[in-house]
Parts: sequence; C-alpha cells; structure tokens
Amino acid sequence: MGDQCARGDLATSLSSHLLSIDPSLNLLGENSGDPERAAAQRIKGRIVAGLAEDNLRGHARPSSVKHTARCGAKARRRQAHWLGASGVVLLLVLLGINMLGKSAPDSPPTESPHPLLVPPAMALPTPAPPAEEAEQFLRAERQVPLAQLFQLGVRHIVLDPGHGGRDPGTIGPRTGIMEKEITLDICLQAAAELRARNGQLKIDLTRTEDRAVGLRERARFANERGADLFVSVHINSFAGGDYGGIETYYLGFPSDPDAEAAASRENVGGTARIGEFEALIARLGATLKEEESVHLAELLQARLYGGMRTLRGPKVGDYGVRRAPFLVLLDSEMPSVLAEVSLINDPEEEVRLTQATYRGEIAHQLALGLEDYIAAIDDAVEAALSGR
Amino acid sequence: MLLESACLNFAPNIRSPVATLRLEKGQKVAAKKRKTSADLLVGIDLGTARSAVVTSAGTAMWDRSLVGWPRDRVAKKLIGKSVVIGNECLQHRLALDVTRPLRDGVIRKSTTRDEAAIHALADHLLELVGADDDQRILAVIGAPAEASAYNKALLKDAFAELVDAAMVVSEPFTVAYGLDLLIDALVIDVGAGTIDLCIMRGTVPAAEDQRTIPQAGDFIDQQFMERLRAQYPQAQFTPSMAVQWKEAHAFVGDAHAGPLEVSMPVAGAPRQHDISAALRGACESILPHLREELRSLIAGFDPEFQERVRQNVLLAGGGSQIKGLDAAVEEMLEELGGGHVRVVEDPLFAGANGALAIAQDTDPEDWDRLEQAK
Ligand SMILES: Nc1ncnc2c1ncn2[C@@H]1O[C@H](COP(=O)(O)OP(=O)(O)O)[C@@H](O)[C@H]1O
Ligand SMILES: [Mg+2]
Ligand SMILES: [Zn+2]
Repeated sequence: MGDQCARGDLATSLSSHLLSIDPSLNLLGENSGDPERAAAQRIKGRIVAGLAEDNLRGHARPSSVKHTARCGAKARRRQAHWLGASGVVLLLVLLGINMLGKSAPDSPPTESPHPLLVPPAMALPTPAPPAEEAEQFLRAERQVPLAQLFQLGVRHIVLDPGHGGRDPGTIGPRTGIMEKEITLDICLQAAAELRARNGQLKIDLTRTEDRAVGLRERARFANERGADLFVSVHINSFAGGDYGGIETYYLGFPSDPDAEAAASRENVGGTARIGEFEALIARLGATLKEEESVHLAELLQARLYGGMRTLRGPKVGDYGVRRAPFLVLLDSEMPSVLAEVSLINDPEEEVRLTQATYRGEIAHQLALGLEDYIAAIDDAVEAALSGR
Repeated sequence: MLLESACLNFAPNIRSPVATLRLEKGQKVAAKKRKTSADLLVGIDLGTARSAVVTSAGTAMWDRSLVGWPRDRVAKKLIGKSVVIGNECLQHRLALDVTRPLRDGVIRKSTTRDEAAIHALADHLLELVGADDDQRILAVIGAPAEASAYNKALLKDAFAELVDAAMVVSEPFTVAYGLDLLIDALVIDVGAGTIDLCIMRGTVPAAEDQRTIPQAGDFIDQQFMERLRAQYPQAQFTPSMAVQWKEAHAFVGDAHAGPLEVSMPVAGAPRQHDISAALRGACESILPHLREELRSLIAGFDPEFQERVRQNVLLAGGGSQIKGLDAAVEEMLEELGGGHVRVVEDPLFAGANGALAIAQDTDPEDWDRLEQAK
C-alpha cells in the first residue's frame, strides 16, 4: 500500500518526492547540490515556456479584439441593467405601464397591435428629476409627444453573425462550407438591404470579417452602442437522420404575470409612489426585454420559415419560437433573439447555402422580419399617442 | 445533456463547499517576487464534478461544476436568478435544468447552451477569487485531458473577458507539475467522468503519454446503485444517498472487512442494510479498465523508462480516496515488474495548486505576450 503524499509540495518548490521514491533519481534532490536543482529548474522552465508557446499559438486571437477584451476583465464587475436606475427611466417605464394598461389591458404580449410603447433605446438626454417633478411629469403625460421626446422606435440594429475565426460553427459534411461563412454573408446581405430601404436605420455587425468574437463580447458590442435590437444568426444542424428546421430563440423565461398584474394595479389611480416601483422596474426590465424579444422572434420566424417553405416546400420543419438561456442573449440589454435561419444537415440545403444568391434569399427574409417588427413598434406608438 | 439526474448524482453537501482556506505558510514559497503586486496569479482546476481556484494571494475555493437554468418562470421567480451555479444547484434542483458543463459541454459536442454554461461557471469561479479592480489577473486553467483544441479555445474564450491573460493546460498534468513530478512519473487521476493517466517525461505530455478511461466516479455510482437495487429490491434510496455512502466508505479488495450498515426504508420503515458487497463490487468495477490502460500505456515505453515510471506512480482526483486503490494499482504493477504507488494528499486542490505553480513559473514576458495576444 502506498504512503500518503506529504503536504506542502508546492512549498518545497523543488520537492524531495523523486528522492523519496527512488534515491537513484534524485535529480531534484536538495542534497545533491545546485547543478541538479538548476537542472530541475531548467526542466520546469522548458515545460512552462512550452505551455505558453502552445497557448500563444493555439488560441491566438486577432489583435483587433484586444482592447475590448482588456476592458472586459474590469467590466465584469459592472452589472448591466437594461433600464438602469435613473428617474427619467423610471418615469418612462411608468408611462409605458400606463399605456399598456389603457391600450390593451388583457391582451397577451404577442397580440397585435403590440402594446409595448417603451422601446429599448434608453440613452436619455435629461438628468434624473427629483421624485415630485417626476410625478408632475407623469401627470402631464397626456400632452407630451412621447415618441418624439424619447425617440421611440427602432433606430439601431446589431446583427451578429454566429461563430467566426477559429470557431467555424457547423461544417457542411459534403461541401465543407462553414457556418461562420454563411452567417457572415447573410448578415452582410441583410444589412445592405435594410440600409438601402431605410436610410434612418443604423445597422452594425458584431463582426464583418472572419474573426473570433466571444459570446459576451457580442452582447457587449450591442450594449455599448445602445442598439435597439440584437439578432444573432446561426445555421441549424442536427445529428442523426433529422434535418432540423427553422427556429428562433429568445432568452430564458416567459413574462412574469405578477409583474404585469402589479403594473396594472399600481397604475389604476396613478398614485403609486416612486420608491415602490424600484423593485417592479427591475422585474419589468427583464419582462419588457423578454416580451419584445418574443415579438421580434415571432415576426422573424414567420418570415424565415415562410420564405423557406416557399423556396423548399413543406419538407422544412417549423420549429417555431423557443426559449433557451443563451449567453449571447443573456447579457444584451435590448430585445434579442437568436435565429437558426437554415439547416445544414439537409444535403440539398447544404449545397444551396454555398450559393450567394440563396443566402441572399435568407437575408431578404431576415430583413423583412426586422422591418415587420419596426413597423409594429411604430404602429403601436402612433396608436397609443393618437388614442390619447 | 440537460440531466436532471446530473445533480442527483451528487450528495448534497452538508457543509458549504465553498471553503475558504488560507494555504499553509510554506505553500506560499512559490509566490515569486518577480511579479508585480498588481498581478494576481490564479490557478484553476475545471473538473467534471468539482472545480477549484487558488490564487497567489492565498485564497483557495471550490464549488461543484454545476450550472442550472430555471425550468420556467415560476422557478426563476422562486430562485430570483436566471442562472444558478455550483452547490446552490442542489438546493434548487427540482426547479432547475442542471448541466455539468465540463462533462456535458466541453467533452461532448458543444452547443451554444453548453458554451453559456461554461461562461457562467467561469464567471462564478472568478467571482470566488474576488480580485481588486487594478490587479492584472493571470490565470492557468486546468481542463479535462480529453478536451479538444477547439474545446480549449472555447474555455479560453470563456475566461477571456474575466482575466487579463490565460493559459489552458491539460489535467492531470497540472497535478504532476504542482507536485514536482516532472520526469519518470505516472499520474492516475480518478475523477468523476474519467480516469486520466499521464506520463511525465520532462516535457509537456504528448498524446501518446496520456490515456483517458471513461469509467470513473460516475460509473462507480451507477454500478453501486444497480447492485443495491439488485440486492435489496424493496429498499428505497436516492442517488445522492448512494453517493454519500460511496464517498464515506468506498473501498476495493480487503481494505475494509465486515459489514457496512446503512439505513434504507423498506415499505416506509427504516431498516439496516449491509452495503459492503455492493460498494466493493462497484468500486472494483473500474479496475479491469484501469489495468488494461495501465498495461498498454506503460508497455509503450522502453524497459528502463518503464521501471522508473512504475516506481513513481501518483493517484489523484476524488477517486484516489477509495481505500485500497493504491494497493490494487500496485498489484497491477506487479504483473509489469513491480512498482510503488502514492496517494495525493489534497485531491481537491492538487490540480489548482499545480496550475498556480505553472502561473508562478511562467516568465513575466510570456504573460505579457499572452496578454497582448488576447
Ligand atoms: N472519499 C471518496 N471516495 C471515493 N470517491 C470519492 C470520494 N470523494 C470524492 N469521490 C468521487 O470523486 C469524484 C470527483 O473527483 P474529482 O477529482 O473532483 O473529479 P473531477 O476532476 O472530474 O471534477 C466523484 O465521482 C466523487 O464521488
Ligand atoms: Mg479533476
Ligand atoms: Zn451556430
């Protein structure tokens, strides 16, 4: 039976283990003087240098990401809140709740016209007013053209081509085409189309070339730019016989009915105290982001699947809108979805995906889905304002 | 992949698993003065079952490698978080989809969700470290031996935004390094998902120096439960009870004599049952696999080297605590010409300590280059 290893191996930086096991091998032994010690140190030096070299070679990233990654190390201590804590934001949410309550008290979040009036663009020009001022402002709310004041509507979209760099995503078994290439091209084409049709719209891509971007970095990219929407584009792949289908994901969990109930309750008389809303807002922040994400996911899914079905016939599966805790969606501060816009396991589809024109078709559907969403938001804002 | 049973495979820990210990005074010797005080060196062991973190500041923490996602909005509300990490998963296990990212994600085909789990776990571990804002965090991360190059890139990615520079290194190489087992040594790391064998020859181990056996702690758990069910069909027990019994009494061969009585309800009434045969059978079920790999690994080297390696075998990982395992391995070595086996003293932190030692021995210029390359 073996003996227990002595404690403090780390301590005796050149331990006597080898010595204790086999005296003839006392390369690291302390009693044999400095040459052996130096030899052991050389071995360690060589090993460690080899490890560093491996790591430098193996997973090096392009230098363009350098500074973002550097900031990230510190940024992790900073909690991201979609709605933040400023009084103006609070106010905005209260206004949103009011309208929500008045325009569509019982409608589920997915019904049309969409009840949500508070868009995710939260870069507000004025500092936080004190509570009474906020209350006054709240009361004066009916005369204020909110859409103008707060620049409601979708102005800025971040498209996120999945994978990239050393991460190829799924690789087509027949053609060798890589998911990272397909997603990049689809995003580039969709961005071009959206820009061409709507000069007001700003579209950014998390990557415009073949490079690796971390999942959280992608979300941060959108957060830092104050984007209104975030759409991550991927290609589905399933092992086995199943070809898979078109599906669009949003983050996490259905909206919280308690938060909704609380919102309408608190807003009946408009007498809620500012302080009472703080907890509510934290919850609503998540709820609103989620509801909007679902709405966006549904519109995208309808276009993507519809387009695919037109092109491909009923063979393509409609996997619908689904939720899953994707990190790339978790960190984003705006409505966010992850769309699986095609399926690579289907041999015919794989071949099509090698063609830029076919990818353009998918990009077209993506653009249409986004435009549907923008239009729905605009409609809801207009309806709410004119109804007052 | 979303195994509810994943968390049930573990005994709920009675004590907090996040134990903060100061390393003993002597253990800080390796903290060389050449790094600036603004550098916090971190050694991380990402295990399939448990992960540990130690730092040059003397912090040593561990937690279970579990990531749980609330099943639905009720669950999310109940828990108040969108992701739950570590031991806390056990508390809320009925409300969570629990994954073991290092087992379910890195080693198997990884999905976006697995990536998210890895990120969440990485984030949690770095939080345990609690670095100052102005400190440079330089980390060496020990990853499962069979993680592919792509997996390692993924791991690095997970840590990229949490640390200033990182190296990913294979387990159980870190264990060997931490114990100065640099040449002519064999480390047998008996973990939860795998047993990893690694030969040390004074260099970074090459593929032919390593072997991975998929029958390890989890396999023993399964075997144990099957045997218990066969032996006592009416007795009731949960997986976590079985794991608790295993971790308290595991043995092979004659390391334990006599009955091992535990209480299991039969038709609602508690009754004593002897689990010794089932436990011994389960623990011994890994031995044939180990014998075979040991033989083929050692046989691949020239006779002289074989002899030296056989004399210098270290058992590491949680499974090294199985009583009599060292003797059983010595018996296997007997067939190959005899040898000597030791058991690592601190299986929980040996990997992380080794990773920290590597971090400390890494040239500052290499750290700078790693930081640049990030
Ligand atoms: N005292 C013990 N006796 C037997 N097995 C144990 C003991 N303690 C822990 N284990 C088992 O060791 C495994 C975990 O070992 P560990 O080295 O932490 O694994 P990993 O590196 O894969 O995370 C689990 O299967 C656990 O049940
Ligand atoms: Mg381990
Ligand atoms: Zn993908």
